Amino acid sequence: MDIMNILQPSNLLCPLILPAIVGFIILLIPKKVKYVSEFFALATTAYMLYVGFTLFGIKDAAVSYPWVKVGPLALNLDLVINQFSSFVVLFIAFFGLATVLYSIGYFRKEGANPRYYSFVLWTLGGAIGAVLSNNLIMLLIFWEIVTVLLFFLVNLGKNKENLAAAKSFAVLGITDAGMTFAVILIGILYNSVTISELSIKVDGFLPGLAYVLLFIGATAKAGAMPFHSWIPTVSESAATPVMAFLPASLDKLLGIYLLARISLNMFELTSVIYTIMLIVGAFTVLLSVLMALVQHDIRKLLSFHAISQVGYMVLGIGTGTVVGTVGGIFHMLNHSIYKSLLFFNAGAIEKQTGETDLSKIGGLARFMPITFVTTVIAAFSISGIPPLNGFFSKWMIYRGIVESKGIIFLAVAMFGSALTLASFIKVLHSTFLGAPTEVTKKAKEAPLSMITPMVVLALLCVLFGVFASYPLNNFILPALDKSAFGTIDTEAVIGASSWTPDLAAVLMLVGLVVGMIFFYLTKLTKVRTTKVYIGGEVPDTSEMRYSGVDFYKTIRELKIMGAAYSDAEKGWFDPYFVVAKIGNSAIMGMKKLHNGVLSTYLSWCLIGLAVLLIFLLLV
Amino acid sequence: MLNLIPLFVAVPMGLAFFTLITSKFSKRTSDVFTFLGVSFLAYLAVRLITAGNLDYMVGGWKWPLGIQLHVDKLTVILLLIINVVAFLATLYALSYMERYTAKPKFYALLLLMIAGMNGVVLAGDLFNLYVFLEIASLASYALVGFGVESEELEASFKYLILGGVASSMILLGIAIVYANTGSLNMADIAQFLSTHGERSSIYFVYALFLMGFGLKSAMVPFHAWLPDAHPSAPAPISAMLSGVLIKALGIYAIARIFFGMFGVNEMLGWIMLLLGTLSMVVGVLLALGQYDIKRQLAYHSISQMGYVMTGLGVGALAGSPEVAALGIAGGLFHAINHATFKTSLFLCAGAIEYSTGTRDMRKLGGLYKRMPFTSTATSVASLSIAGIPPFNGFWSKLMIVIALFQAKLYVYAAITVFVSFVTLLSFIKLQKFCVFGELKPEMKSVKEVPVSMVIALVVLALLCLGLGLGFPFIEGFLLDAASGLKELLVFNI
Repeated sequence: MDIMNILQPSNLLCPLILPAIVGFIILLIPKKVKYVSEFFALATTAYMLYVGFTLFGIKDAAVSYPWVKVGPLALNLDLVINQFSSFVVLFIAFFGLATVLYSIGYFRKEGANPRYYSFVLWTLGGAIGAVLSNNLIMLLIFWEIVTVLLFFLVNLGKNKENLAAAKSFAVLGITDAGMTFAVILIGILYNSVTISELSIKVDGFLPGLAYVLLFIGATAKAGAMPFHSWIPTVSESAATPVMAFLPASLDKLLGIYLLARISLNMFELTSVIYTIMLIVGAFTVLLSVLMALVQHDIRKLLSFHAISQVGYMVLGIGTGTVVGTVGGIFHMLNHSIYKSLLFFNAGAIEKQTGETDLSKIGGLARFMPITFVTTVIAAFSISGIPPLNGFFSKWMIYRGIVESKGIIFLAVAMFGSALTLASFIKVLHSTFLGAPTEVTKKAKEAPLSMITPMVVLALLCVLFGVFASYPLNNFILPALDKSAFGTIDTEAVIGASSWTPDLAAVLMLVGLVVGMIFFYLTKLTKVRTTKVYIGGEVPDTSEMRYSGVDFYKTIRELKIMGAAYSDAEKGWFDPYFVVAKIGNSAIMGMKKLHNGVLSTYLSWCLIGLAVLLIFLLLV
Repeated sequence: MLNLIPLFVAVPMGLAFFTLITSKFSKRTSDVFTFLGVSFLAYLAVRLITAGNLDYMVGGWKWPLGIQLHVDKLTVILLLIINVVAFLATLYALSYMERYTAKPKFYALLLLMIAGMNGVVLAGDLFNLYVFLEIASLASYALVGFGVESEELEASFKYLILGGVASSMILLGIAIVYANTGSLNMADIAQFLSTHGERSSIYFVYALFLMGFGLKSAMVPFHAWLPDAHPSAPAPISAMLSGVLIKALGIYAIARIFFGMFGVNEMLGWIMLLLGTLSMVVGVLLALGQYDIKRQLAYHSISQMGYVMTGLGVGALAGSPEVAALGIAGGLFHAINHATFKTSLFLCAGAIEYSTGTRDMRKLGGLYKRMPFTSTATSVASLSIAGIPPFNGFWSKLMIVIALFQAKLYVYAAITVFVSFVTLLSFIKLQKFCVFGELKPEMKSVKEVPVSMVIALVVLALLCLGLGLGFPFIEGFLLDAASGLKELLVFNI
């Protein structure tokens, strides 16, 4: 097996080994010739996309390289490409290319940290490895590699003085530890860690524990509540391309992919677990969209939406119906597209104005028209406006919920969607409309290497919406065919989802047109403009602009909501915060015991000896 | 090979005094001689890997009365740890110790400590084990106080008192064993005990040895000296103490005496498991609360020794030989790995202190811009100790956890995984404060450390990665060593 053979695009090892090697090569390139490392990164990701397409064409292949056996568990590099993993790999490679292209523009001025592209490439290899692995322990190893690289990528960004960024890894670390426990437990109980060999009935405490731990691991990566809190924290310090690359797209793909794999292939679930999933999903949708409504910082706002949308995916899979599951996975795909686009847009704004605070920007539509259009598309898509892609996946999720007869969850999901729209109206208004501020007056459109991935992603949003049956037929339905649902009636699934949207779309368009007519009718009347005076003096109007940041201040000021918000901001909904408090006091107590007095220490030794003696002589 | 074995003790012991004398005439000689000596020892230890079991009778006296040096796989593992780490620590000390006066005295003490540790792991009888243990301990007491500042002297004094109590317990235990069996040779005692059955006085010895060697290996509640002593010593000595000494004097002695001489039973297994788990949890939680880098690392040593002890405990408990072998092999491999990453971390902490003059995390930050090698080595070693694949710490922890699962000790397995997570947390903190973040204005002029220190750091980082990636090749050796350990000692005379 020589190196050229490995680099063949049809070789399953290629997407793992190629980025690993190129990553090391980039590490050796001196910082002065950053163009060389940018070129290497771009060429590699482009080739990876080609590999992704090739593998997508193959659809069915498996290789196995025995590595090592620890006790009864065999750690074999079992790589399997099937209908499901092939499209996830394709999109991971796609986001890799988009991110690298975007980063080249984003880091143009100061130059990226020399290690940045190495880390991105390794993350790419790790993520693809996790998706291709059929061996649970190998999956876990790749999974952890992605987590660790996220840590390093975030730390290359601008840094806060506090320990906040460490917290995200506390959350991911504990859930990864739980997954480790679950994987080894499965290996010992069922004597196999090969995913395709396992079919576990959740009927006792131990299998239930294993499922729950894997579920938590998968959803924490994707960012569902209550293990969501790492995403907003990361958004405070990570560079924007990193946000678009990991929490917005790759981590969603990985988390929901794993959730679907364990729920549909590995475990046979009971209705209790489905209900739990619905509850988790509903809470996630609602609570995080409420948090998003009141955010000032665009990146933090987007990160709360990233959590909220995961709720829809969990809801979809939690319905246990074909339509709902298909919708959930379709939503995963759509989400990674529009959310990375939103982060790219936010990055473009940040780059051109130097600001991410919504109250300090405004009126950018005329300075950055392309960014404006792509943001509008992405915002409408995440809010579920037809005919964009987000609408179709949400619609299927609604259908799934109706089928599973959880009307309350339907109400929550729809309400959440409405609040999402409300929140993005605020974003659109305060960034692109209204009067320009000091920082936005001199803004220019972002450079080509940033615009290109943004436009491509926006086009995908439209295409996957207008021609929704194409991704459904080619990516998602084949992936779920012959899983827990048996053979899927394709016509029924697509048919069920598509008759109403057309009508709804027409109605909405009519509504829009009517609205615009009214708008222009009001313009026909004459408006008199005059100078502003206060007490005879011309005030500074730039201070008096209406930015839209406080659109939803009323919600915040409601009595019930206000209490919830202040608790949330203090961190009481964040398990990390609560556990950290308890842990901290335990540590403080133990530190007090270690008072440095020799006689105390000596007495511990003697007490220890006495206990040992009692144990040995009496028991 | 057989006739070279005494050199492990003779070379460092002789050099210790020889370099002191020559340094009176030329300062540089002690650098040169010490470095050559430890290089030779490291080379010998590496050559010993393929040697198999050997027994050397000192002076040709007959077994069981004569002094005997015994080599088997466990000894080889320990000799490798001791001498390779000693080599790297000396390489590092060449530059680092320039800051201290009395460098020749430092080398002499270091060599004495090496001689003592080599003697402990080679000794075939209890009394020589005790004598070498005292040589190593006394040298380490002096080295902890080497800086002769008030804090260092206080730490050294505490260490001396507690270590002295432990030594006297061990000596008392040895005396009782001798009174009961009439022999000091370990294989001879093993034979005697297995034919004459159990006696309650031997249980008393169990307690004495567990306390004595437990203190040397810093098991909770006998750990309190370590967080004071290890950070006070100069960095290469901290590395030797944490990376090697607690294993050679503590873990090795427990493994050798309880597995090889007394023979383990379920009760001993439970005690080891409980001691190990307690140390793991207490050590790691205390480490999390520290801001002094070296103090944090010292607490982690307690926690990591807990892992090793847990592995040995499963080995003693488990009914099936495969599970037992897996647990012990995990414990031994973790001891090896701990020697690599903890040495690396202490040397990194030393390098940071060397360049910046502080080891308070809160005063540091952004060092990856100024000290790329040290930062990368710190990151690699942190990932290793936190058990992140594919670094070496991952494999040893995996083996221990799998063995715990197989023995159906699910709660202990969960604790082990949890401790691994807290370890990760604690090293995220270290990374966050030292390696990443903003460079403090007063640190703008910080430079990378001298080349001999960098070499030591790079070699250790490569070892962390190499032992991880090369795990499939050493797994067999470890399992062999573990199965060998499970048997009672038999010397082939």
